Amino acid sequence: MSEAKIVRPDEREDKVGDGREAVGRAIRLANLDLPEADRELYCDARPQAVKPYNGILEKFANWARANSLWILGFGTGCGAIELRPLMTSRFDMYRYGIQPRPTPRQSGVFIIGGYASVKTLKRIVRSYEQMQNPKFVLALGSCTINGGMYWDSYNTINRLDHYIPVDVYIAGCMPRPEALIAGFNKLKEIIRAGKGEGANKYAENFDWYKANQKKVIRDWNMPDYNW
Amino acid sequence: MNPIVLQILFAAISLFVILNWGLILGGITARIQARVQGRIGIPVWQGYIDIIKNYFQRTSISHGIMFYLGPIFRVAGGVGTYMFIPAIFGSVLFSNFHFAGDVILVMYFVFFGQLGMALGAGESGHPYSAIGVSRGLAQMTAFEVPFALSVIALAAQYHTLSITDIVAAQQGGFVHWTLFTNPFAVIAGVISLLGMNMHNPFSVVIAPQEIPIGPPTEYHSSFLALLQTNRAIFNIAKLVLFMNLFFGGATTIWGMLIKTFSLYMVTIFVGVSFPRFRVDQSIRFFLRVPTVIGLAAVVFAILVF
Amino acid sequence: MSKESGLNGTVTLEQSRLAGTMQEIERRFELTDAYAQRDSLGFVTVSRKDAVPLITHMRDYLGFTHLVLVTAVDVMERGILRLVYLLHNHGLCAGIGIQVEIPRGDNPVTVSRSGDADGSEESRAGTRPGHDGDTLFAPGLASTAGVSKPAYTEMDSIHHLWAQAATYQREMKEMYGVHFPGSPRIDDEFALEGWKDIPPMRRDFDTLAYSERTFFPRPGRETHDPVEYMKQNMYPDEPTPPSA
Repeated sequence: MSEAKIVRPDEREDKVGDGREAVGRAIRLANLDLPEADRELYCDARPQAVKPYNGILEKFANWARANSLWILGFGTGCGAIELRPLMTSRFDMYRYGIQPRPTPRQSGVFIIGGYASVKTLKRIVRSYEQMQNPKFVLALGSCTINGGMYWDSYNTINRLDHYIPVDVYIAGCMPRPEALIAGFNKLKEIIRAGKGEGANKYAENFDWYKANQKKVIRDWNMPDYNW
Repeated sequence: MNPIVLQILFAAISLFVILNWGLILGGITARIQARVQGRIGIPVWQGYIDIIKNYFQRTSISHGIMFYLGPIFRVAGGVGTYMFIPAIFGSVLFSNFHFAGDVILVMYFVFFGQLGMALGAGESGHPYSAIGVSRGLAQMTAFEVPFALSVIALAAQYHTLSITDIVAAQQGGFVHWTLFTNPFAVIAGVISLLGMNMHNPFSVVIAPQEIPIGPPTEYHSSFLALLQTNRAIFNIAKLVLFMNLFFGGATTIWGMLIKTFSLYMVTIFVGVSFPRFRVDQSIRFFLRVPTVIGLAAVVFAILVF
Repeated sequence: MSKESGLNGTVTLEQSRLAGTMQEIERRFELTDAYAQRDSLGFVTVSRKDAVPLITHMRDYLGFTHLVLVTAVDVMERGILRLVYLLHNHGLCAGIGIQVEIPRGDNPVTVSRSGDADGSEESRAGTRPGHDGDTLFAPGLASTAGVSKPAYTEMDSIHHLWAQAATYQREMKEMYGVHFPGSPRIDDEFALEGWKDIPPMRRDFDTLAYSERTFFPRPGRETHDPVEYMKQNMYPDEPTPPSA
């Protein structure tokens, strides 16, 4: 608990001193043209990888994370239609400890339901970056694996794991709630084994992910890292 | 040992018991609500796992000092509410610091937590937090009216503001409960308890579907874990307060558990049966019939006692 | 009667419930083609000059008050874009699709912001000071950009008849490159954000090549064509039938 990092906008490690203007111009920060008062609305920090705890403490933490999966209530594509039967009485995901939360700040699992158009991908990236470490991604449907039905479309991406790290793919078009529950059980196994390190992977390969994202998202009107 | 140190130790133990009872009560009622809906529902101990998971989040974002202090104020409000209520009448372990405060102080603490939360949520800068805060405080101001009136009625009836004395006056059989001696006060109080617990129809402030979750929108990780801990403590503190004021208090621990559970089930029964009010509808509701009942309670108490 | 297309379903227009409507239309306008797809749906083709007057007349006098949709068909072989306006008459429970053929346009034309005579776009909220011309905050809003979206061809707008036509026309501009002068917010981005290529619904846009270029196709994708599979596994000796 004492290792949780609280990052304030003016206390980042990579804060440059008075040479901010010059450095900013050299690397074209997104917030450079803003008046001084608005500048901190646009941050220019990078994500940091956080080392997990050691030994039994991490095992205990992973047990707690696996049994209390809070999914983000953002239905990104047609997969959202399968989330509704999952929540209601027949398939009841609550008994597995899976509960939906409305904000990315509070949730740990992001379910990408189906195809991700370029417009949606921008919002997915923005929501994903606001989630806290550790976070997990569940990709539903064949569109996230290889483009699926929309493999030759001008507006949908083909491989989701080039833009955000994915933990579990659930194949199908759309996978039924039983398949989703099987995917959640697999995710729980991955978390308990200590392999659910998507957030750290994102931080370590941040430049590669960002380059891929910027290749398709042309109108980039948000910070590079939306924390 | 120094008696005050012993008292502090006993208070800590009773707070710990209350915390556990609050988490388990939350799990039990969630499970009952799930069964009503025909499904199984979360495990009873899910509250513990959620709090542990939130404490073990590796990163968190702070928006400033007041944001950091918001949950601290909230927990202070919850603990403060509980500390001045005798949970079990006549028990040394569970009487907390009842000699140091009275009903007015407890009412202050009930309000204090929400105010601190409002300041913290406001500093987060999230527009939805601000909307949730304004709704929550508006609704709180409204339901305090019948509650205050019923407390005034009790003060007029029992000629005291000390909770222990009010409980003592209700001993000796259940016909001495305020429920039977001044039913108007009890009705007004229980209706305002519905507003305090923020279940349907007064849940527009913190329901997850409503402008994402209201004041706690931007709170996460350890902040949220603190808020969840407080919710357990605060729920039971309110129930124990109402039990002491209106339903004769408890003389054994089983009595307290059963009475608080039954009182909470009243809120849950109403909660599953009704949809939500808008904020202006709930304010109008509280300022009409429950206020009239509260006034009737005061008049009744003055005339009869 | 169907003059050119030779398309008639089970009924002709004279037999359908649209007979009276067709009489009224033919008295006033010159139709290149008219046919009935079924009893309750007919299609007429008019020249570009008569299109908006015909639509207005049908809305005001003939009871076709419901605009169902506006769409386009890219007929690359003839070098035209066929716009289709579907109108519905709730009294008759019948619909008529008005088809207009406009030249397809091969060269895109971009006008600067001040070049639009109607000036309706300027009334949008202004840019932030110091952000003239860059698309930092609101790239979707045309008023922050210095130029309009490139247009390949033009057609008269009907947004004064139905307000929702403005949305359809915005989509037409983005997907086919058809400009409708005066239509509000016509250059605002509709479904594609930051699109720099040609309007994607035009038939000369190779969407597969674009997808392979921009997105990362996963190697190892297989396609199983049922015809090929059956031919190889079940009928290996049969000669290939001529393609229909």
